[in-house]
Amino acid sequence: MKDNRFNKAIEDLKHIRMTDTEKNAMRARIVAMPVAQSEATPRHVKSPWSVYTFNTWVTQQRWVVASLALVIIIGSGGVVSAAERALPGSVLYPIKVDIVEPLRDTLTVSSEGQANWNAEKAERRIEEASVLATTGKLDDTTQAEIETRLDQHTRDFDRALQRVREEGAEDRADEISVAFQAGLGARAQVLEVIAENDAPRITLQARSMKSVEDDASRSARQAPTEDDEDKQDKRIVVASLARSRAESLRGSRSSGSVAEVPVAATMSMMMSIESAPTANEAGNVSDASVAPIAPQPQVTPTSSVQSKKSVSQKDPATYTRRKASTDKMIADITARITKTKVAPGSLQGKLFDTTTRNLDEARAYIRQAEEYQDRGQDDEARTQILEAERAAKEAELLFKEGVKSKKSGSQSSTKESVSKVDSKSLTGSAVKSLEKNKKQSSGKIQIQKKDREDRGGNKGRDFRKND
Amino acid sequence: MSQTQHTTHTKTFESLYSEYSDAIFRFCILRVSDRDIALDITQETFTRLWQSLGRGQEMTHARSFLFTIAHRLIIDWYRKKKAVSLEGLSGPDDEESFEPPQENAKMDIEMESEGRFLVQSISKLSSSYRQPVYLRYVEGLSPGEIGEILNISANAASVRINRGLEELRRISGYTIEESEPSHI
Repeated sequence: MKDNRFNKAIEDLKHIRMTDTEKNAMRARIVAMPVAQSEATPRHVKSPWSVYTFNTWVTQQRWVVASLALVIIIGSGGVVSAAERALPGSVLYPIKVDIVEPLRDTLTVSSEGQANWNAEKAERRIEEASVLATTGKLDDTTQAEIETRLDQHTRDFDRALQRVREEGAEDRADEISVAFQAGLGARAQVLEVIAENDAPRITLQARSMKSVEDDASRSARQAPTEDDEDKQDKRIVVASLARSRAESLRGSRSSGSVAEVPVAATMSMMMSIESAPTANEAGNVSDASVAPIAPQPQVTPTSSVQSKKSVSQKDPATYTRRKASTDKMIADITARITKTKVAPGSLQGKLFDTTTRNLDEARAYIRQAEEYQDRGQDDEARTQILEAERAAKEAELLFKEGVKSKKSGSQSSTKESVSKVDSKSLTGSAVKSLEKNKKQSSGKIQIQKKDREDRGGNKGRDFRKND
Repeated sequence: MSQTQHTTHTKTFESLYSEYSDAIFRFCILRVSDRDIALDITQETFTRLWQSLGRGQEMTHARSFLFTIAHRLIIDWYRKKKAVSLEGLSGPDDEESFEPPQENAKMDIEMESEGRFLVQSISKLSSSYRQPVYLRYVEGLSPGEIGEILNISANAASVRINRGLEELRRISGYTIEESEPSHI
């Protein structure tokens, strides 16, 4: 049923309308309006958040492009830091050597910083070479490449050091050079010790092989043995590489031609250690080492004394400071070494032996320095104290290496022996003979160790002579 | 050719204008309570229609198109008005109020008492029922069209129409049949 009132109301509402005039006027106005064709096409309002808007905006703003590039470069630190650990032959190695390191070259401004940086680069090369040598991946090409770079770094280091001296920071230059030599020297010694440490194992293997009259197994084992020897050779090559670079610098130290003295000192020292390894070390060493070297200063050209006079005059304070710090360093390491328990014949033991040797060397140098000082030869005294410092630093580094080798060394050596056994069994030789070998070799180990030690000492000496 | 096109869409416009201009005007004036503003909005609504036709857009649902535009323009006007004057503060907060409270004072619409009563009743409805009820029973639009205009589904529109009608009955005392649109 329709409600009449409702209908009436709607009818009423329908009466609400425009007047005819209003209506017609409006229609006229509207129809007169031009149809805006161009504006008519729906225009897309760009959202400020859309990717495309961002892109156009970015490309329009130069500084945004620049800063983005910067962010990407900094953000790619991952690659750079990965490259930092790269070895020759790796894809990232060129990035490390040809991009990152030159970049740091240019970023390093002070001559002191450059000297330090070049020292670091040289140490890096040695580090790379030693890693490659240890894993048996150091071939002749890589070695040559590393050697070239090493020479370059050493030259650059020398030049930077020269600049440091010219700037008047003689002491600082000495310090840097000592640190550099100590770093390389310590590395060389560690390599030698490790190489020698592995050497007896090879001879042991060789000997045990002799006892087995099995041609097939012998020929099969020949290969890994040779390989090991090769590896060892390489390590010693790398060691001598480091040592030669370190010693090439000795000549460049403020008091020129002392290069002969340290070698002589080392030799005599080592003799003394050999002859009197335990008892009354200090006294023996001083007698043995000072005696042959004492005449040397007369041989030293006077030119160096003349040229460095001006410098040496302000030295006393530095000299005493150096001496004191070196003394302290020696005492420290000696104390720590005696505190640390070592299994005799272990790698760590050998490293510590070398450390002790270096400490003795340092002591010998200090005594020499004292003598020179007494005689009023300040320049010589100064050179000797620097040598002492270097030896002490080397000792410190070696000691640290020794401590490290205790932590990691035991593991790796067992691993190595395991892998060796594995390789043996792979050759197909009789397991029985293997067992026999083991028994024999374990019986021989004690004797072998002594052997090894002697040989190790000799070898070290040989290499020093060669250099 | 463009001439013929022009005449075609002028003709379409003419017919749509004469058919719906009053309804749109009514729709506007009942909500804005100001004749001049209602005229403005009506003109703007038909201008948009004119532009759309000029662009060659086809008008399939001209009526809901016009109401939609008018509806939005009214909302815009309320928003602007709110921002500009303090007048709106005295009134109800919701933008879609059918009529402002000061309607009687300002409105210069000649209306019979019955019509006025209906408008007042509708304005008393809940805000979401006002438009659906008005469009359905006064203008006779289908629930589908109402949904289009209010941007809701046809179902939701018819639900609102029915509930609104119930409320209207309660308020006004009219006895309107649910199913039956007043007239078309």
